[in-house]
Amino acid sequence: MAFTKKVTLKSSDGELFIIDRAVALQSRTIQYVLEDTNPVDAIIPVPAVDARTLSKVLEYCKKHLIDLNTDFEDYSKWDKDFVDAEVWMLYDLIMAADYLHIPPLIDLICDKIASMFKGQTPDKIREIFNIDNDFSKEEEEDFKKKSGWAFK
Amino acid sequence: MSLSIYEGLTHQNIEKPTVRIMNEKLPRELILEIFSRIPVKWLFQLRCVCKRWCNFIDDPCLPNMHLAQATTREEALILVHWFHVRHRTSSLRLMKEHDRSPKAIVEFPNRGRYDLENSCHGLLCFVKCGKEEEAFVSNPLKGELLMLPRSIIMSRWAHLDRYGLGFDSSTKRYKIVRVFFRDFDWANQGYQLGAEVYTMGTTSSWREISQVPCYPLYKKGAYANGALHWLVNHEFSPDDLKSMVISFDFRQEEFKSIPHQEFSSKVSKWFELVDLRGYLGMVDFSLAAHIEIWKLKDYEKKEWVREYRIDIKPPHGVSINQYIEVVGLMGDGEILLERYKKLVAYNPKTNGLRCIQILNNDPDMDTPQVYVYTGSLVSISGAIKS
Repeated sequence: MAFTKKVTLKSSDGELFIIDRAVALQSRTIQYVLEDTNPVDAIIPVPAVDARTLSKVLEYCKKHLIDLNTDFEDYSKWDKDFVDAEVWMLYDLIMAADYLHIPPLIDLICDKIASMFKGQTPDKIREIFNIDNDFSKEEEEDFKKKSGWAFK
Repeated sequence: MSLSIYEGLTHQNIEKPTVRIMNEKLPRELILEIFSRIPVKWLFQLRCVCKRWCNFIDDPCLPNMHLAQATTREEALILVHWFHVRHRTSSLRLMKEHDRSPKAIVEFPNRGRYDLENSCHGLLCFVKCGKEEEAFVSNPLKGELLMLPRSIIMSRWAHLDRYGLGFDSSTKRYKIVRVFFRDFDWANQGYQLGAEVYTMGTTSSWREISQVPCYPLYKKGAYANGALHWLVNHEFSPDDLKSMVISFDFRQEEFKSIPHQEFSSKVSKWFELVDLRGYLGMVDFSLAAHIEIWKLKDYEKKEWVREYRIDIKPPHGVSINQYIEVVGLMGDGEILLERYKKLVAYNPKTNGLRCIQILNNDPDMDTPQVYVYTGSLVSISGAIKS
């Protein structure tokens, strides 16, 4: 069996993740750390990401490493299931993907969040994303007057 | 399935879904990334969600990010251009199903009959030709409109002048090109054309350019691959003309001939250029019982393919002598056709035609012009400033 280099990541809450170097290299942030310091058996801290989120991100990185040769169909189905999650989890994931700098994962989550707006009224969107309406009734009416074409 | 990974974990304080996503911690860059993937129509609704979102949607960086994503995501809207014959006023409206007289989104500032020249990045260029030649650019969804300064060069045949709007990717500026008629060269039996360019946001005047098209331009332009395309006028084209299509590159400010395959007819009157959602399309009306739409699939290699073959049979079809127009390609893949006051959609999957709407029969209104339009967030005030 071929010897694969391992890298250890430490989440913000102290959990250790021992993974293949190739998996870790999908994160540009970790890639830079490895290039700069080339730590042997050292532990790379990931202070912005908790264990729950990091394990999920690594799941994505592993899948995308192994399945580089599978056709696009399989891939997109897996991706779709991967982001079929609740808003708060997507939030954690996108923050982690941003911190670790994994552009395809950022793209995937952005697409997912964008798709959640489809066909929703502003009221419903405030509910989904837990946002307070800081516009007055008059201001809101003004929007509908000026951009009435956009509202049903 | 996606939750399964968490089942084995025993975190004591699993956060409840109260995270105020996108409204507190998410950085501006990521919010703009997300908003850049949302169709314009929804973004106009989202502006009223909260003040912070409104500011993000009005962020000057968003229009360009949004354009980069939009080609395939953005839905095609149907714009109707009404002209009131008695008042001589025009307005633009968005066609909605089951709404025969939707409200105007833009009223034209001056009286008179304007024609659409082309659209680019959600901006429309309208021109009133004739004695008082006048042009403006509008983003109808934002209700913005900019009158262009008048050129100081008079055209001998102003009604044949052509204007075209495009984007110069090197300077990130919108430009308008005007091709006008200097004179007729009796010795060589050809028109002497002139061309000038107006750059939005830099100078306040037109600038003449040295290169001019070989032949007068014909019919509305179609914007694709960063260039604007027109047909050349068949009446002035010699028989050995290799191509009927001419382009204007807004970066190099050059006119070029675009090669295409040989059609059964060489008379440009029987052709029309159309924007196929980012691709240049060429409609062939010269055939007996059907029309063909060719698509310039590979712009670099100039590879055309016959993308549609539309049989024009009754009840919605017409015999070849009757006027029919290809309006554009809809988001769902249907081709919108217009015949007199009837809008007909052609479905390439079923090869069928269905009537979508009969346009208003108001005697005060001229037959409305219909455009397939892809909206954008591009702001004219932003384009002038930056």
